[in-house]
Formats: sequence, structure tokens, C-alpha cells
Amino acid sequence: MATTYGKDYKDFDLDFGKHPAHGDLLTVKKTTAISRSINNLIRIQAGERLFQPGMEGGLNALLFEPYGVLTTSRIIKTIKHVIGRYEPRADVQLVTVVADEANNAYLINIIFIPDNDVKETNIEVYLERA
Amino acid sequence: MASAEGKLNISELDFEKIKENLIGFMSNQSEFVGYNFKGSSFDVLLDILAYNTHYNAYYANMVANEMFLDSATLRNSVVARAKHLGYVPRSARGSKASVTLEITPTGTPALISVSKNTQFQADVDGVSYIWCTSNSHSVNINANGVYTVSTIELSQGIPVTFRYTANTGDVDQKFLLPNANTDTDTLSVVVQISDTDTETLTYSLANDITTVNASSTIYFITENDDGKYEIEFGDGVLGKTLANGNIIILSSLICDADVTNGAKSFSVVSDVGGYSNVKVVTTSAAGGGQESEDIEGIKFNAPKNYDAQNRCVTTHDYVSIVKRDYSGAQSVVAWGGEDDDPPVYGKVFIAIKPASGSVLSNSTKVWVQDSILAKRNIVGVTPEIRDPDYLYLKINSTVKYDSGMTTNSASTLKSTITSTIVDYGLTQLKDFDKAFRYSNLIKKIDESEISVKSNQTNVSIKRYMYPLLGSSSAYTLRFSNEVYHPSNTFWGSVTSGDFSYRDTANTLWTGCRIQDANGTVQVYRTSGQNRIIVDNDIGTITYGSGKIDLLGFAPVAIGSSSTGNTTTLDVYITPSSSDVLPLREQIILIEDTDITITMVDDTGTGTYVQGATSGSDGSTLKTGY
Repeated sequence: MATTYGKDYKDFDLDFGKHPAHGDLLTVKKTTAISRSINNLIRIQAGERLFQPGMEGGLNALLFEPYGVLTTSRIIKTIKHVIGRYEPRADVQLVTVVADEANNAYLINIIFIPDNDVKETNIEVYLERA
Repeated sequence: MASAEGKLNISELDFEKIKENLIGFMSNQSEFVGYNFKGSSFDVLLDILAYNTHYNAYYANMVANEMFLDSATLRNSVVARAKHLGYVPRSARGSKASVTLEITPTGTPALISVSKNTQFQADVDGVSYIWCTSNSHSVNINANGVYTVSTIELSQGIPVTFRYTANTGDVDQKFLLPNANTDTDTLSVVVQISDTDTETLTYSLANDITTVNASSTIYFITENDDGKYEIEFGDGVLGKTLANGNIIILSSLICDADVTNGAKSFSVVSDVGGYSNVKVVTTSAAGGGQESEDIEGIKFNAPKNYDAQNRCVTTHDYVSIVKRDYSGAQSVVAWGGEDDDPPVYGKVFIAIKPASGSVLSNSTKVWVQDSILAKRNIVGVTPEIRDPDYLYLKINSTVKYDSGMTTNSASTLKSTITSTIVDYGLTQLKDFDKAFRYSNLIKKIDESEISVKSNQTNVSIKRYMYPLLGSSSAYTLRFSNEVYHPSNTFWGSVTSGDFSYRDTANTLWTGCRIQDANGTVQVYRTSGQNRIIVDNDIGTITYGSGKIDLLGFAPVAIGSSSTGNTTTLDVYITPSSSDVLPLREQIILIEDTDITITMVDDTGTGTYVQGATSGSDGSTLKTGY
């Protein structure tokens, strides 16, 4: 079980940029670290993580389902499930999914309360069929 | 797990454990926080670090394992380790048979030549296989005007030849035998000087480099990574080196290993020496075919071969070398003459159990003795090949079963239990040094079917003797196990099959048997329930060693036979111990005909409440006969 080990979370930035002042690897902190983690989680495909074939965001297959209320509902449910299972630092409040049929994509908005803050935080993810 | 001090535990090999250790290590620094959440970027990095560590640990473990003969699992690693011990794994072996040919030619040629690799065929399980003559033979007409050649050895396999031209400029040139089932025993290596110079030299396998020099025409054979064999030649110091342009001709048989064992009806494929009217009489059925040596065999034999150092000093050396050089041996045992009974100093005895049949032919014994052992043993010590000595167990079992627990009939159960005992004999006995363990057998009987509740089993030991009928002769029967003899007044641990015998008044009695009487062996007959002595002393029995010495035993007939010494007489003893141990060349067998099963339905009500005493329906007590 993961531990919240203080509240000042710090992770490195997957963009691998360098700090403009001292040139170190860029890091993301606090709530941003949690948001990045959620973003990573819902994009993971089955078999992508070494020796953890069962770990996945679960959205990849749903992206290719017909647009409709049922698919939207399943996407919401899946997102809540994956965050609930793998990201204990986020208390999900609301997930909204808007289909962008013209671009074969979904705009997903997740509102959650991070465990290191009392305010709600919003994260937007744009998922395309790829 | 990592310790509280933040030390990294490096002894784990599993991915999950390694990752846990890394997380434990990370928990002791403050640069990153949140590395232990599945979605964090750092978790991806930890996955990669753990994977890389796991990969390297696995690789290191495999490398370490494959470096030692005991732990190596890949065949090429095992072969490479065995190579360090000077051991070449045995290739597949084609079966060998022996036939006599009676050729009826057109006309009366002075001589008929049967060339090497003349082909014969025989069927095994409906499949036709090829055998070839191992050597060439010349056949002269005999006094009866028939061209007969006896005991021709046939080797199973199809002959193939590969030719290579030596290129001394190519340091990587290989001389391969590219077929998987090449029988290297049949390999012939011939080197032709060049395309234009057709003179040839026949090379022989190097077995002992202490006897070779720069001009020795020898070759070495090794197994390569693919399990194929490769021929190597001398370097000009150890053996004659190849010259540029030499033509290497490798001829051998590609065999079908053990599937051809047992073939006994051979016919000519096309002709023999140019004549097709040939009668083939099998004198010895095909046997000795074997698959190539497996990994376990290499691991077992390579160190022993190294111990032997290609010479016969200890008894283990004899065993190792016979197993290596005589492919027809299924198992081998050897002992010094000082351990024989009676001791024979200056000799080593070797008993060989052939892969097919029960004893070796005399010619094979001589060949093993002279060709394999004589040149490697110590001067003054004579090797002698003995036949395996077979002891037979007679099993008499009363089996209680619950008919309410099975749908099988008593006869079906009896058949199942008989099969269990036969199977026990085939798998647990039938070899040198394999002892009969009583408790193992009765456990197998109990487990042979769910309805079997218990068994009461008697074991006696049987030997076959071949007495000369109508003549008084001496015989020694070695049972090599202590005979049951609890007191001087006890008799009945020895018995036999029926035979006819004359008493001192020269009256011929049928239905006679032998018995023991406190160290003396007697002949008796029965009259009703009584035993009447026909001859009160025909020899002695030593109970401790299980040895019976018959001094003046003169049976007149066994069954309907009254001449010769080819009719068997069964002799039984009751052993003192339920476990029976073979000695030296002895092998214990169980024959189907020696198994007697009595089924007793023991369906109970759950409680035993009837009768004053419990009944007796079978016993393991030794009460004699």
C-alpha cells in the first residue's frame, strides 16, 4: 500500500525539461504531481508496465466504442475505478466526459480533492483515438 | 526489504522484491516524494531499474549455473563441461543383430564376397528399417555345396558419406557429421591425399594421447553446440596434421536408435555379393540400440570417466569403461576376485546386463574382454565377464478388500494387483544393486485400488537349477540371503518343484521334493499328509549365507523329461528377512507366474462384534511348506 509520506509530493517531469536556472531535471510538485499521476494512469495500456500486465487505464478499448451515453458512462466509471485503485492521494469528486466526434476524441474533466489540500483541483485530459 | 538505515538489499532476484527494495531505499531520501504511487513518473523509472536489475541477476545466475556440470541445464553447457573432463557424450546407437547367411548362387563361384554395408531390412511395429553388414566377409563353398557364412553382425542404419577438402588457410574449417542420429561407433574416417593422388589413409579414434605422436593417423571427435558431432585432426604434435587439399571422407550409419530393438526377421534388400537367392537365419535378434546420451547421463558418466582416466584400476573404472565402450550394456557391475565366493585372486569380474536379452553371447563377452578391457587393465589382473545371476521372487498375497467401495469384481481386482506387482518388479528391481523392499511392495498393493483394505504377503526366493537327469552330480545354489531357520528343530525353509528320485532300495518315486533338516538337504515324497524321506542326505545348506551345496543329487526325471540337463527344477527358500538383497552379479526379478493373489471380501458393518475371536485368513508368519 502506498503511503502519503508527508504532503509535499515531488516527482520528475516526464517532459524531461531542464530547469532554466541551474539546469537540473525539471520536477513537478504538490498537486501537480498528483494531476500528472492521474494523467499517466488513465493513459496506461495493458502490458505497457514491466511485469504488471494487469495494470491499465482501461480507456483504450473504450475509445473505439460507438459514441453514446453508454460509452460515456463506462469511461467515467473506468476513470473513477482506476484512480480509486492506483491513486489514493486523489478523492474524485466529479468526472465529466464530452465526446468530440468530429475529431474522434473525448474531452475528460476530472475534479478531485488532493490529500495535501482542501481545495478541489481540476484536470483536463483530451483523449484521441490513435 | 531494505533496512531502516537505507541500505539496499541486493540479494533478491524477483522483480517485485527488487522493486520493493528500491522503494525502501528511496524512502530514506527526501529528493523525491510520491515515488511509490503507481501513476507517478518515478514509478516508471523504478520499473525500469527493477527490470534491469532482474535481467542482470537472471543472466548472472544462469551464467553461474551453466559453468558447473552439476547445475548446468543447457545441453551445450553440459557437453562443454564434460569436454573439460575428456568425456565425449555417446551418440545414438543403432541396434545390432547377428545372422547366418546361406547363399545359393547361379553357378559355383570359388568365392562370394559380402561387402561391408550390404543392406538388409526388417520390420518393427509395421515400419521397415535398414540394417547393414558391419564388416566385409568372404564365403567359400562348404562340403555340402552350400555357401554359408555364420554370425554376420548387422548394424542398424542407413550409410551416408560426407567429403570435405582440407583448406589449411581456413582456420575455422569444420568437419561435421551433420545428421542428428549419426552412430559414431560406425564412423570411418579416411583421408585421401588429394584429388589427383588417390592414396588413402584410414584414421582411428584417439582414445589415449599418451601413445600418439606427430605421425599418428588419429582423429578426435567432439559434440558441438547443435548436438552434432565434429571431427578434429592432429596438430602435427598430437597426431598427423592435415595437408592442404586432403580429401576427408567421413562414412557412418544414420540410425533409428532404440526403436529398432527386437527386430528378428531379416531379409535382403537387393542382393548379397551379387546373388539374391539368400536365406537369412537370425542367430541373435536386434538389440543395443540407444538414443544419444541425455543430459543426466552425461552428468553421471563424465566424472566417473574422468576418475577412470581411461585405465582399469578400480572396479568403478571397469564399470565406467564398459559402459562407455559397449553400447549394448544396460547396466554393469564389477568386483574384485577377492570378494568372490570362493575368492579368486588376480581376477576382476564384470557382470553385464545386456539391453536386450538376459545374457551376452560368448563372442560378445570375448570382445568386451579382449577389445575393451585387456589393453587398459593392470598387468597380472585378468578381467572375466560373468552373466547376470537371476533370483526370482515368489509372491503369495492375501488381499482384503471392501466390495462395497468398488464396482470392480474380485477377478478384476486380482488382475489389477498382479499388474501392480509386475510393474513394481519392472521399475524397482531388474537391475544390479536393486534390492527388494518388502514395505514398498505391500504399500503399492494397498494403494493399487481404493477398495483394498490390507494385504498379508509372503515372499520366498526361487532359483532355477538345471540338473543332469539320471546322473548323480554336485550343484551349488547361492541365494545370498539368510534362510529362515529359527531353531534346530525347525524345518521347511527349503522346497522345490516335483521330480522323480530313486531311494536307497532303488525304488523310483515320483512327486519328490527337497527339504532342509537343520543344515542337511533331503529328498522326500508325500503320502497323504505325511512326508517320507527318500534320501536323507543329498547335501548341506548354510542358513547364514543362503548357500545350498548338493553333493550327490541324482533326479531321474522332471515332468516328462528324463535325459539331459535342459529341464529346469525350481528351488525355493524362505528368507529370514522380508527384504531381499542381490549380491554382486545377482538381479532380482518377479515373474507373472510366481504371483499368487487370494482376494478376501472384507465388507464390514463398521464394528466387529461377532465371534469369540477374530478369524485368521492369511498370514505373513513363516510356517514352512
